Order: sequence, then structure tokens, then C-alpha cells
Amino acid sequence: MSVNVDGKKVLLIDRTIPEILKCNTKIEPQLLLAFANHLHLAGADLIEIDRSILDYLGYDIDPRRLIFRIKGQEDLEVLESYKFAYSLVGCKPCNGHLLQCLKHHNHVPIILEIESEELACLSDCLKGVDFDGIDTIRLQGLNKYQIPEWIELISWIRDNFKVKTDVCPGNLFHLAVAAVYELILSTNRPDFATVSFTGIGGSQGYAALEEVVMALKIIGRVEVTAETRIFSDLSHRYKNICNFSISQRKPVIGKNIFRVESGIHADGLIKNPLLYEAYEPEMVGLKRDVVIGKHSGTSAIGEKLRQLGREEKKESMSIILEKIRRRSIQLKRNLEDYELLNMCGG
Amino acid sequence: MRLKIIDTTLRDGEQQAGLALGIDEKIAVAELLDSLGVFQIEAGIPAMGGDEKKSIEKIACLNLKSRISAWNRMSIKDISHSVDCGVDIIHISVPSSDLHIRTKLSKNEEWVLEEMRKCIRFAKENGFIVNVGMEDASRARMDFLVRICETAKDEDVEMVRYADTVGVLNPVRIAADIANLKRTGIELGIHAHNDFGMAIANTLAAVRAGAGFADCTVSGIGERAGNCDFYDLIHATEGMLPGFKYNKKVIKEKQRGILKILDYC
Repeated sequence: MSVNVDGKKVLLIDRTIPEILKCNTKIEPQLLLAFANHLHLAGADLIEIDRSILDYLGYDIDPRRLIFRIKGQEDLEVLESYKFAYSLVGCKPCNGHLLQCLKHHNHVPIILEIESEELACLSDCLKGVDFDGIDTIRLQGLNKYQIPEWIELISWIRDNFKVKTDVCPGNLFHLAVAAVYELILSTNRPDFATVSFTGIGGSQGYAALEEVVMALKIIGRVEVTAETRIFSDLSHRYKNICNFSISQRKPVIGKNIFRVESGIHADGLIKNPLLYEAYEPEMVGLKRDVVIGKHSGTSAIGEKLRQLGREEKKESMSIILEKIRRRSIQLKRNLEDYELLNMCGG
Repeated sequence: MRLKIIDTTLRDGEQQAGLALGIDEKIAVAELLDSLGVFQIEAGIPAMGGDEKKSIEKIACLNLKSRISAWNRMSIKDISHSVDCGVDIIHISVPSSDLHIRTKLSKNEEWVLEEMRKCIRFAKENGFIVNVGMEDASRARMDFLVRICETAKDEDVEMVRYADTVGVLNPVRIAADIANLKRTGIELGIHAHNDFGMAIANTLAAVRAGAGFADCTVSGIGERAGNCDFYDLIHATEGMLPGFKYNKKVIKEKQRGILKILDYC
């Protein structure tokens, strides 16, 4: 998708696939390949993989859209045959020789990944590194970092090491989406931001791709080329291949996020949907659903009954409303259409 | 100032489609929230009448340590129901964005300020502490938000809540808005929604900028993508706010109890 803000591009890197395969290695390769292609349509410019994923997918994927993680000497051979967009290596003492070898494959730009929770540890990690030949530093973790600390950190990296930056905040404290969003819209924006679909990623998670894309589009009013309508489809594919559930309230993709019951809000939505929704549900492949329950008002009930082909007199609405409230409390849920019709005399 | 938690599980949380609590259940949830030590429990909407009003009356009679508030539209008729309930605090929701004022109400800003004054005076004449909520503040003009805060200050309102009604805030924006509104001298609160996954970050940014009250719900329940999650907020503030301490283990345990009552997994 590449986010273009004031003439500068920020590329979104997605690392969903390695995270999925950590949890489930019995996925049909064709399904995973289709999922990868959908991630690309949904806004991921680059997809992170490693050699085991490449073996799994059967090398049937465009390498120019891939970031290849180097884990060992044997991975270097793959670099000879495929023109990946970037190679990625972790900044660890044991990877020193590997990094030197990688620099000899200088046709593939190198991203050096540094994982840290504190700035002091980050500085220590960077001390021994020879930055000659390194294209980008990925800053991973820093779970508790907020704005403006992140912005100061990026300036510090740029000023001291003259490299590009990739931010990959951990989501342990639910701050990752905000960090990525604010950084992309800041004047000192990074070159890359690394995210994952639903925010999947070990115990801490990452910024959710779909939340970042929609926040940029709706709040930031940034022109994004991602096909946001496929988010719903992507979440079905994700559930099918991983067997993971997605919370019904998950921002952007939760199946109930456009389900409305409150009388005040349902009434407002009838007048103008934007009163109580930031964007139209269709924009993310979902539909609005006004349901009737304890919090419904006479206006929403009247509208629902009209949709079901029934007209009720105004004077009988308060009786129906009270019946609905009592029944809904009894059932501890909203009412189904047939239950509503039965309540109104069939 | 120490951060004060306002739990709105029984009002905004229960507005999540499919949740419906009866009198006994609402009382049980209020007791669990009180045992957690939340500063204020927003108990519901008395103007709904019936069991909802009765449940708020009963919660107000429990003599809990948490202060009990009731949510109202900007209408004296609605506020009269809250007066009947005998709560500690009457919360008045004031439409603040052009979209809400003109599309929903077909009114103008002067009308809003005038009605707001009338409603505050009515509640105060009846002996209540008043909080004002600026509905849809994140899509409102700053100059009008300042006028609401100034009017509230003139009328001796205890606190004004900045409501991100459709969840379109970001941390940089809310920090700037809270800093601006603080200049009016009124105490401020933040009510964040999680539509883009930023409710915790926005609440923290508002608190860092000077908001003294933060709204949340148990497990983040609420309309659409929900509200600021109580447990997650406590987790994120650890070590950040001197003197602000909750026992996370106890929150988890009580949260389980509340979700069981809500029949929500």
C-alpha cells in the first residue's frame, strides 16, 4: 500500500505468516499463499518470511514483496537464487559472523533487528555494530514507549547511525497501534512500520495491520490504496486457516462492531449513521445490524417492526417496549425477530 | 492530582448490543466494582424508567464507598428521573459537535449552552454534584469545547468529561486538547472508545496531559469495539502514576465475577 504522507513513503511490513506458523504448521500451503496475497491487498507492502516458510509455500510467491529472515549460514544460499526486497537479521552477538557474510551479498539491503525494552539496553546493543552496509534498523519491543519518546528515539538513531528506521512496537500495554499511527504522521516518520493481522505475535503481540490502515484512512485522512473492504474476508480466511477466534468487538474486524441496540444511538443512526459511527461498515466488508433489546427505544422498535412488515399504533409502543425490556433481561440478550413478532401478537 | 477511575460498565458497557441486566444483577456488579475501589460507578440511565431506574435507586441506597452517578441527556425531564434515584452525581451529556447539534437536534450552539445552564442549575438546586460530558468532543470545534468548559466552571460543575464518542482520537490530539481545556480551570475526564485500538493510549495521553478522571469498563465492554478496558488501563499505568495502585490479581478475579453475572465470555 505504502503510506504517502507529505511526499514521503512509509512501507508497511507484515509478519503475520511466521506468527501463524509458530502456532499451526498443518495449514494447506495454497490457503496460506492466498492469505499472503490478501494481506498484500489489505495494505501490507512487504511480507516477512524465513526459509521454512519459503519451503512450505513452494517458492511460488513474488520475492520482490518479501523480507527474508536469515537465521543461519544455510539461509545465505537462498539469497543467491532469489531477489528479495530485503534481508533481515537479528542483532545478537552470535550473529556477528552471519552479518559479515550477509554484507557480502550486498545486492540485498539488510535490515538489522534490535529487540529491547529499554533505551539503555538498546544503546548497548548498538555499541558493537559496524553500520557499514546496514540499510535499516528495526526497533522491536519497547512496549511501554509512547509519543514523544518514540519520535525522539527515531531522531537519535537517524542522527547517530545514518540508517533508515523500521518500527515494530510490542503491544503488551495496548499502545502499539497508537505508536505506529503517530509515528507515520509525525514529521520525523520512520521508513517502515512492522505490523501483523489482528496484532498476532507471541505473548505481547504487535500493532494490528487493519487498525493501523483504518486509523490512517479515517482519523489521519491519509490516502491509502489498501482494499479495506477485504478486511472481513481476510478475517474469515484467518479464522479458517488458524482455527483462532477473533473477538466480536475486535476493532475494524469484530463481527459485532456494527451491531446497535441502544435507543439513543439507534435513533441517531436512522437520522445519520455518522452520528455514532466513524465510518460506514461496508468500508471494511461488514454490515450494520440494529437489534432489539433492553436498551432499545420506541423509534428503533417501530423501524424494526416496519422492516418485518408490521405497523404498530403509537399508543401501543410503550407497552411493547416494556415487554421487550422484561423479556430481554429474562433472556440476558437481545431478541430475535420471531420473538419480537410473537410479542406483538404474531 | 491522583487519577480517579470512573467505571461505566453499568451504563456504556451495558449498551453493548446483547447485554441486558436486571435489578439484582446490576446491584451485584455495583458491589463488585465498589470492592475494587473505583472512585465512581456510572450506574445507568434513569430516564429509561422501569427496572433500570429501580436498579439505580437501589444501588444508590447501598451506601457504597464508590460514588454513584447517573447518565442523562441534556433534558430536565430526564434529570428529574435521576433526582428521584438519589444518586451522588448527576452526569449531563451535552452535544458538542456541529454534527450532533445540527443533525441530531436541529439546534445551534447558543441553544446548547443555554439548555446546559438550565439543566445544571436544576440538578444543583436539587442538591446534586454535577458532571458534564461533552458528547462527540473529538469531532467538535475547540472554541466551542472551551465555551462549554467555561460555562461549566461558571456553574460550579465538578468535572467535564471529554467523550470520544466514535473513537476517532489519537494520543497527540487528545494531549493537545486536554492541555488547551485545562486553561479554563475545570477538572477534566476522558472517555475513550476503542474503534481503532487506541483507547488505552488515548486515555494515558489524556492523563499525562492533565485529565484527572478516566472512564473504563470491565473487559472493555461497550458499543462497537468497546471502551477503555479497566484491567488493561491499570496494567499500562503501572509505575507511571505515583500513588495510583490497584491489585491486578484482584481486578482479574472480580472481573471474572462481573463477566459471569453479565453472562459474557
